[in-house]
Amino acid sequence: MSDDEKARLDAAMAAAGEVILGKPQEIRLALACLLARGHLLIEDLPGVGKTTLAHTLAAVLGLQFQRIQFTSDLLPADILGVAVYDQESGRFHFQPGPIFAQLILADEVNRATPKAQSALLEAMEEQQVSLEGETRPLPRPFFVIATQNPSCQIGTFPLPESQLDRFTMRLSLGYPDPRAERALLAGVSRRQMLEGLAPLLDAPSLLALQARVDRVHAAEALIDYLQALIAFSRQSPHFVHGLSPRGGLALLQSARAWALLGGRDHVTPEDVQAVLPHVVVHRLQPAAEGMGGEELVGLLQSVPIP
Amino acid sequence: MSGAGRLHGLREDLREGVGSYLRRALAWRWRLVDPARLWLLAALCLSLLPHLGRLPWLLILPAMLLLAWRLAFELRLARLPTRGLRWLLVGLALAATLGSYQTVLGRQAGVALLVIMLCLKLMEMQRPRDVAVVIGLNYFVVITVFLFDQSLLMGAYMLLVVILITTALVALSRPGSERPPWADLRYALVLLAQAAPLALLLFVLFPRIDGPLWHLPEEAAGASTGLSDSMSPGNISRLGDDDAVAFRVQFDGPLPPPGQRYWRALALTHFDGRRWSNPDSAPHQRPPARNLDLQVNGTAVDYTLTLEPHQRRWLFALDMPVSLPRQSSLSPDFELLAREPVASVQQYRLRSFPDYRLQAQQAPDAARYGQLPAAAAPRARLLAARLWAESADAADYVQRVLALFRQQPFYYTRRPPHLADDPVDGFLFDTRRGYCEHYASAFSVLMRAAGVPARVMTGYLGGETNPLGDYFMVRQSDAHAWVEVWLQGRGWVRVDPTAVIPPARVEVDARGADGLRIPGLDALAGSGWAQAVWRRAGFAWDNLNHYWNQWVVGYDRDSQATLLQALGLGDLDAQGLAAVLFTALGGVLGVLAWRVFRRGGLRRDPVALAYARFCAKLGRRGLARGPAEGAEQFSRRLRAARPDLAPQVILVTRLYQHLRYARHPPRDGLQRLQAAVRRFHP
Repeated sequence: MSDDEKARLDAAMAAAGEVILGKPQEIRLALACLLARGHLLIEDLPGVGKTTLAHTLAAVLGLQFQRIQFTSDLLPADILGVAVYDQESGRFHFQPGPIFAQLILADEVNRATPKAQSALLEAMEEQQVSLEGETRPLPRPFFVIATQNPSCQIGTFPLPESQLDRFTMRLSLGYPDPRAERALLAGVSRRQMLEGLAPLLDAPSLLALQARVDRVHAAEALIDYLQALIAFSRQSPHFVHGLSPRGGLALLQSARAWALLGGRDHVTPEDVQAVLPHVVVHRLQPAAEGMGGEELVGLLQSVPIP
Repeated sequence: MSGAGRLHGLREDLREGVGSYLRRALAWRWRLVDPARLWLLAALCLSLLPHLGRLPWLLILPAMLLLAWRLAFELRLARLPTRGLRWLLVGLALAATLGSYQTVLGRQAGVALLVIMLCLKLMEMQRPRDVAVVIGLNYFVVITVFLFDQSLLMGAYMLLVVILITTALVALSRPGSERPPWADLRYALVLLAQAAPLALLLFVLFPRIDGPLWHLPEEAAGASTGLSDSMSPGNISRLGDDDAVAFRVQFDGPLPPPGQRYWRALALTHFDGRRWSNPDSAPHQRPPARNLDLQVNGTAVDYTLTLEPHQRRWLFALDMPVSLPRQSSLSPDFELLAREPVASVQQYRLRSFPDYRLQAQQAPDAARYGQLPAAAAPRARLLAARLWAESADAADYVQRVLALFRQQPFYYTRRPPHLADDPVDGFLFDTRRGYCEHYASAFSVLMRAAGVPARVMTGYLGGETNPLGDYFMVRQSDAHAWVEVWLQGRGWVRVDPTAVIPPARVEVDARGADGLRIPGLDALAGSGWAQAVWRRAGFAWDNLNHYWNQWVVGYDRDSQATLLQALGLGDLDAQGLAAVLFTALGGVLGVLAWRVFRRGGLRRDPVALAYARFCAKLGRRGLARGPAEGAEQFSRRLRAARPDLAPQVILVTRLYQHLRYARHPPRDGLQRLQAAVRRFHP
């Protein structure tokens, strides 16, 4: 990675950090998820800045942004678009839905019916939309940030495990620490700040960075470590199921992106450990009731590095 | 175009088409073959090669066909036979073995059965487990080769085969074809090299038993080399061309003088007019000697004799032996006879006295040592009567007969004329050209005709020192026959009638004097640098073989006892030795296994090893790295705890992370890491 790219990435993260106070790690993870060609699920209470984070990322990365508010009456066509009959020309013509943007914020994704959810998830997986026999590619890069409200589950359709697996990472933002909170309270409105943000990257350079992530070297010794982790997740009695091969790939790709953000062209076990909680926890189901994500991660973090 | 021309063109097209088809077909088919099976087939072919000469064509051809079939299957060119056909083939193979040997037991038939059944096993080799079975059997085939041949060359060849088999085993246990094929070969070599010390230890210390491990009944019928148990004109001279070594000798002291290098083997007492033999039929049926009357004087000659296998029961000793090798007996004619035919290299120590008196007190059995067929050699009898009448006593008579050979125009030649009627008379009065057997036979007849007890001795005369190895080698071409006569008051006296022929009457043939080893005539050997180099190479090769025989093949209970004595383990018996051996081996393997299990695998990567050492040094200072702690994380913790170590910790961590995880680690990184870890003293 050239110094220029590194500087621009660092600048982008710093600029986002100006808006999202006290969450540099989460910003970095979100960016890593984007560079790993993944999608992000943010699970948190309302009002902790999920939307702001998506807005900020879109602004500093120079991406087109669309927000889809998921509600119980949302239809797939509301996401994907619809064919409209044009009376003047006498033909149907496609009206693209909000999914045709580079950065999508799928807000409160668990409020919509499974039908609408799967329309989004299919588009995420396929990177294209198939409607009425026609396939339309989605813009590139294509990055979905979906949010879920974990505490208010009445009248919702929580994403099943099989669909959680489609998200490369799951984050939660949590409350800001007192100092960040103070700065937030004392500072100008975030909305104003967002308007003043200038893009520091653009779509082509992000695509180049994504390609660069693929070339980050994972040595034999590192693959050994990954396999030890995967084997542990599959053999340990603490989990119902182990990590899927897609989970393993997501872990490696996220670690690569993390290494790239750290300015390295090779992955180290620390990279894996840094992304591990966010890549793995939503894919694993603890066997014991009441086992939290912290303990789960602790178990995995105790797997010896070969 | 004529019809013939068209046909020719068509044939050309076909040939070209078939050729290119085969080339294209094989090019991609080779890539389909599992390397383990390819290695195994190669090893199998090579391990069967030494057996080919021993097996009947009835079994060789099917074996080769089965191998070819298997190769064709691996190339996806043929199918394996069905179960029914396989059973049929097994039946046919059994029948062919039975038909060839009338048995399926024993060395020859057993090996033949093993070979053909192993090839048949290829027809149902499907799963890795079957491959493993064939690999195991292939190792066993290697062992069977040594039932027939234990030479150095065969040992080297079989080592090659074992390497190939082990490569097949390695390839089998590491499936996948991403590796270059020599990766498995290298792995196998490393494995075998690691196993070598263990094999050496077992070879040296494993308790040896006397004699062969199992009794092999056909051995007496096996091809024997060297001397035979009888002597007729021509059967010693046929050995004149055979440069093979019969036995090798290491003398403790100086060499005995050339005139005393008579290596006795067999005494032949019965003459049928042409052939000398021993009336006691087979050597092992001869009664052991009782009350042998042997007096010795002068200095003893002590030596170690390493005998090449000759499939016979007799052993060789310098006149006259006073000690017996183990598992052997002495016949009344002073022949050393082993209990079993010599089927493998044997080594024994002997003590001989060149100055001796044998049975001087009591006259030998006149019927046995004076026997002559009534019709044999009438002219020789007349001659004997005349000479006896002129002689004062038996000793004088011996001298007169020897003088006859010396003075009359008797010639020594390796190509004597054929003697049709009465060989003794024909030789003495007509041709007068003969080899040692002619002289020994005629001399004995003359002695017996005059009533002097006599017997023909066969054995070897002379030998040569290997200048490169400080030992003495006796070749088949040194085979010789001489006579022992019994003289009143002196007992049995050795007389060599051949030795009295003056050098001028020794015919040197095209090969030089190699065939003739009469003492003092070695100077006649050819010269020229090419011959010198050739001779020297021959000596070097023989020297190598001698060490092989002495230290590997001839390593028996005695050699082991000597070695153990030198090691201070002399008091151990076989059980004790086995106990010590297996305790030691078990201990070593146990420690290795414990280490492997404790670490969860062998840590061979030198980078990881160096870093582990670094961590161990810190661990002793109470700064142990957690098993799941990344190097960078550990480094941060260390720098916080011990800021004084920061530069070294940063260096080691950076080098380690790069060497272990980067795509292009620094070229001298490992050395720098190792040096940094060595210098690191927290």
